Amino acid sequence: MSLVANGVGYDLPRRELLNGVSLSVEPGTVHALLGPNGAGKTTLLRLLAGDSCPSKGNITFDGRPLAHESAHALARRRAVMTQSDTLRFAFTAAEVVALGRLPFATAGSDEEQRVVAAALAATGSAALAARSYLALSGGERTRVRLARALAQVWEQFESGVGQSAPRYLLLDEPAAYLDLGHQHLALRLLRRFAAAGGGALVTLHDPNLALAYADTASVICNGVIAASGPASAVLTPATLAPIFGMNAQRIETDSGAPVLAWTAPRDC
Amino acid sequence: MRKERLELSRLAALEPKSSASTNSATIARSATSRAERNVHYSAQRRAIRWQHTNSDNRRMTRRRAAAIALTTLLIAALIGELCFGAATVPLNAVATSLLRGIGSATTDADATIIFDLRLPRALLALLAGAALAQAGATMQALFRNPLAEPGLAGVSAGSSLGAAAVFAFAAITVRWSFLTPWLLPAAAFAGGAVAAVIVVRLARIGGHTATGHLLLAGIAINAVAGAGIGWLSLRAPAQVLHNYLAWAYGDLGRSGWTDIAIVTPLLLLAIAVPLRDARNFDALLLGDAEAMHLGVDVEALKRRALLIAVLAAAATAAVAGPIAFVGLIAPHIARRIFGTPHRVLLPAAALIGAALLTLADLAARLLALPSELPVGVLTALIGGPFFLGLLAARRHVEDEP
Repeated sequence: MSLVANGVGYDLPRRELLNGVSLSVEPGTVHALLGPNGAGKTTLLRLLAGDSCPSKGNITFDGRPLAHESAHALARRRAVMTQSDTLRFAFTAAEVVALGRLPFATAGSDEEQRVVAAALAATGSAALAARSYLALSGGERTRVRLARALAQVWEQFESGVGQSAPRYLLLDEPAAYLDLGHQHLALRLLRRFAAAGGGALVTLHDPNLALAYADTASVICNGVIAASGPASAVLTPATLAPIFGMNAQRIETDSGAPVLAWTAPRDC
Repeated sequence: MRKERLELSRLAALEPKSSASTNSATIARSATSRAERNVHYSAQRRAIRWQHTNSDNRRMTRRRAAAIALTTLLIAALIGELCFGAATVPLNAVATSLLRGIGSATTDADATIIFDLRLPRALLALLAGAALAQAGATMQALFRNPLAEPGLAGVSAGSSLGAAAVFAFAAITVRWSFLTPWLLPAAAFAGGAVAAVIVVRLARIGGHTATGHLLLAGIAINAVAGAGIGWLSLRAPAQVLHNYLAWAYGDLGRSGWTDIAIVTPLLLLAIAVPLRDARNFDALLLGDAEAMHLGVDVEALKRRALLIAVLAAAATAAVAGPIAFVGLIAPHIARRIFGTPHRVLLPAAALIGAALLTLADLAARLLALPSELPVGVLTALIGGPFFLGLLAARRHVEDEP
């Protein structure tokens, strides 16, 4: 029971984007994926979402090859939040979130409206419900898109750990554009999702968010996994400093999770 | 409207409070802050329900009124189609003719005018208008662009080239003149279908239909077909050119019952097929990958959308010539009144398209008595300024769902 990439490679005609990447999204956990721009985070997430097939290696979903699953069957088990924000039509925020219920064929039902309202409230976007998506700010749009992904896997929050078919969330930079409070709100939602038995993969740029909320983490650089394991063991100054070209210092805090303090290296 | 927005902004004022409370919750995960949050959430939820029912009710009332008005307009236009023209038939004469039925021997002049000329014409306007509007709405969803129209994938240009070829070579085929009534619709339909097939083939990359390539291939086909039409027109005698131009501006009065019997199933398919896909088109507006993540078979959906465009545009062109603007405008008007979700948008666009084309045809018949204007000229003449007005009024549309 998990979403697994086994030695996955992905090539473009003149460029290798991923090479020998292995990663597992386990039910009940939040896995954070970090790495510099262009490292291959989004490519890996797309392969796990089934957008395209890996050139090497394979991806399995609960033990079966991902390519054998129909789009409809997958949509009932996992939700994806991409970075693209190309909507140019004036849906209301609630209408966008309601699309998350499309795989469950309950258009306009009370059940759908209940889940939509709950997902909007969970992301702090309740007041946006009747507003046009096009009139929202970047951060508000991100919250609405997060709410749509949550609505698609909402059963996990309600049925909890005992469920036979755990749901998965694949989120590509959900914290981008969000203010500090909403970044933490988004990650706390992922914790709640994992506590209810769901499995989440999230790409992040802030190691401190990963340290505070992720169980496990992988650092990807130039298309290969540089480090993988428990978040606090992976996200260390020794691993991250050379990859990001920054100096880091680990600071223990009273509230639990350690934080990393960053300083730029001195220019020569 | 303004009042509604005020209420919304008042609700939005709740927002910072929510982020503040979540912030503090991160730092101190105390039971009190959680209780506070719960209270806050439930208050927010209650506020939403209130706001929903309030603005939803108002919106529903507005939409219902618009739907009733549009249906009335369509019925009035259809009655006008039957009553007015070169000879005015009074309404009671129309009614008695209709009641007597199609089967009875139609001897008097009024009944002949109504049954053989005006009824088929009114039906064609109704069906073609609805089908073109439906095709326009699906193409706008396919291209994720509100400026898309049914002819964008090269269908209209292909139809025109097919028709131009028939006009140009009519002199040669005069020996088989009994075929001529069939030749023009067949060539127009085939031209449109072939153009669409070429465009779809060109746009396929690695098993996927790339929307950007679809647009580019459509533009290329439009250019090539335009060149072919230009070449054929230049070498054709003046009379042939005149005949072609008369065709190219659209005329709903050309077709009799046989033509209508042939294209009706095609137009009905174009009207009915998209309705089943309403939610899938909603998802497609988010993006190809996003629609796939929601379980939509994107490739099959794109094929169906293009099929609808071919059916509507080529079938209309076959019997009435290419008719511009209805497919572009009707979905726009529908979106303004009824919102973006296709479940309501598609039937609304079909209703508006039917009303628009019926009205335009009526106007085309009445404005230049005793002769007629081509209906395509009318749709463009009314549609162009109307569209500009719509754009001018739309400056703040992003604020209004």
